[in-house]
Amino acid sequence: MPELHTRDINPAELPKQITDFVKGIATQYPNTKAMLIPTLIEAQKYYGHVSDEVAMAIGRLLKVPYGEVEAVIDFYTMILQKPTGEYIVGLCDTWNCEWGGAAALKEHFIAKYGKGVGEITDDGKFTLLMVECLCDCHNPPSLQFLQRGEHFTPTWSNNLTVELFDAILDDLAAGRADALRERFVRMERKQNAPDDRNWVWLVTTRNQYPCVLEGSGDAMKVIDGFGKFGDLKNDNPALHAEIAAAAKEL
Amino acid sequence: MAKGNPILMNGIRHECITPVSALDNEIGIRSLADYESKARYVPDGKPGGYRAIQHVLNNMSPEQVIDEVKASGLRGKGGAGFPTGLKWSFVPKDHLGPKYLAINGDEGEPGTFKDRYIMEDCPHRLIEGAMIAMHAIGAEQTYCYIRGEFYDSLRLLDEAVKECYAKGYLGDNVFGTGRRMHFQVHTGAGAYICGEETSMLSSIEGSRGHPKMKPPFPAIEGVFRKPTIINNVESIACAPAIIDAGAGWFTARGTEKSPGVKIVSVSGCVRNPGWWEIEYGTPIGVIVNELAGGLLPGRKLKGLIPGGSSCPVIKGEAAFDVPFDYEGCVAGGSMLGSAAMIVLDDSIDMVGVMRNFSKFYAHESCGKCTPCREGTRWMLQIHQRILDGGGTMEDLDLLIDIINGIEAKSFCPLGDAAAWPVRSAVERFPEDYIAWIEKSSRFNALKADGNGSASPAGSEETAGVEAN
Repeated sequence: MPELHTRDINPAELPKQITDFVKGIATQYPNTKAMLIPTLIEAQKYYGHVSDEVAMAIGRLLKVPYGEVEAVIDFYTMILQKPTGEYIVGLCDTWNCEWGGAAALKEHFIAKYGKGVGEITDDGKFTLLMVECLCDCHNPPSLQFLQRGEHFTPTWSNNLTVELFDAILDDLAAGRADALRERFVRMERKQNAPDDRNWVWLVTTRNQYPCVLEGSGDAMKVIDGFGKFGDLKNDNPALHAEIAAAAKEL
Repeated sequence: MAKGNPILMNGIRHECITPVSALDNEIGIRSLADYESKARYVPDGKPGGYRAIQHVLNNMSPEQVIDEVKASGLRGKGGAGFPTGLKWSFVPKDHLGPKYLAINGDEGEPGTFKDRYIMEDCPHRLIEGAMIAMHAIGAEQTYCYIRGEFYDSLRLLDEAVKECYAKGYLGDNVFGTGRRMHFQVHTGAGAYICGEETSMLSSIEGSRGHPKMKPPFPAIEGVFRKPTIINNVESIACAPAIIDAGAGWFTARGTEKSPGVKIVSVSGCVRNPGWWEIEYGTPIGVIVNELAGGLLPGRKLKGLIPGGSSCPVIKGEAAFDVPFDYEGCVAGGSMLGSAAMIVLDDSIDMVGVMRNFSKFYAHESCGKCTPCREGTRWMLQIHQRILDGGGTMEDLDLLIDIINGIEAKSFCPLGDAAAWPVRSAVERFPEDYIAWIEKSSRFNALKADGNGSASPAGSEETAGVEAN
């Protein structure tokens, strides 16, 4: 886990991710201030928040007065000033997601951990944040798990029910590697199917897909509309099994 | 609407209704090699990745490119629908020094999810479009501003850009022609206001995302105080197909005043929500019932927002007959906006919807001007009060009064965007508000005192008069 700095830091001491990032994009801009927001976002990804010390160091690195850095941090909602858990759980509650049940997820999180929005859970794993429209409105309720650190990992988790949300949180807390895998939510026959094949409307924790199912059981093939599954049976056998089981009941 | 032509449905070609997609065959093409080898939809069917830009660099002057785009009638896809070719022609030709192209990928309008699929599924089409636009306006640098939450779009587009740099498609000697073209993916940091063009420029410059006064318009003085053209991701992504297939291919689709194709994203109370590229003028009923699978079983349409949360709500099933183009949506009492269709069925309470929208705009107002900063919060408070059981009939007049104070009086369009849906809800669905108010203790106490002044019918009338 990255070290949280509590003292004045020299720009040269900033993590390599951040200094390399600045070097990589410097030629694209006529001045250094233009790099401020992308650089702060890199720091946010690394630390999970941007402390005053880091903000000051980034200001020195980019030769932007500290006041202007603070003004920017204050304005943009993705740059947080207070420390967060290892995962930021960004839950959307704009209309589509509110309609899709975001409030139930929020209540469940608060009841499960006894921590409100913006607080860190006791195990240091999660911080729930309510965010405005994530523009994934066809997959309500929509949320993102953002794992901070050297290898920042963002993962969409959509169409969630309270049970699935709870299972994902438990799996993440237990450190299971496939906790954020694509999971099955529900399935129905596709409306207005274009041909006679076995078209279904598949809802997973990533997306809603039109899919064609061929064969059944273990040999079932899922041909999805986005071409993002690849070899589902090898890549995500659990999801394959869940779809096969649901297909039997369809 | 003849049957039998292909349409793109979430990436799969369907033999369905008429639209022919410019995105066809390009969904899921992320690598440069795939993009170059596979055919996009063109009349002669030759494979076409980066063919249009090479043709432009070798054979076309900037004026010819602008004329071709003007002839295609391409209109901006971000919301306002301004003709793209005309916009490109605003850049002063005799300007010395850098000019910029800024692509707006700050997709934040509730209900919209179209640009991210272009950036994730066919990023090269966007890059090629940007190169065509850079040639047309004489720019050497593109900034593609993408909202920070779209980590996948940022990563995939950035990878595609790196591929292009490695192959010499971008850089200081593009395709060996000696032209300089650079492309930088720039991340936002979670501010809806940065989708407003001048706020986006402020944000690229590294400042708070406040809108700037116009004039000077960005085409004269934009980012870094240099001439800048700002286009939506989807508009730019149309350019390669227009150059490849010709303006006539584009104008053959859609309607006379809204030619071409548009990605529509459908969300809300439908069975198969998703996005499709359709021809302008397709009736909304076809989009909802044939593409999005229709309403949930046993439900009826209550209202429909054709263009994202900033647009007025169309009441009832009349919405199904509205043709989905700029003029049709205006005639139907709303706007096309960013083509983000939100479907509301009879189980939905309009007061709750408007409370949520007001919350969104109150949160996203940048605070620069008073009507928007204060007005959005007041709208939220009044909706919250009505839902908490403290509303009175006067609240309906008060809402309209506040809307009159925001609309056309705020600094940038965010104020209008916050006001329009609420006005439409108060005027077209007063029964939803009245149902809450009649249950409210405050209203009933006032009525018992003989002060429950405004009758339900009365406030409806007042609302109508104020609107005029």
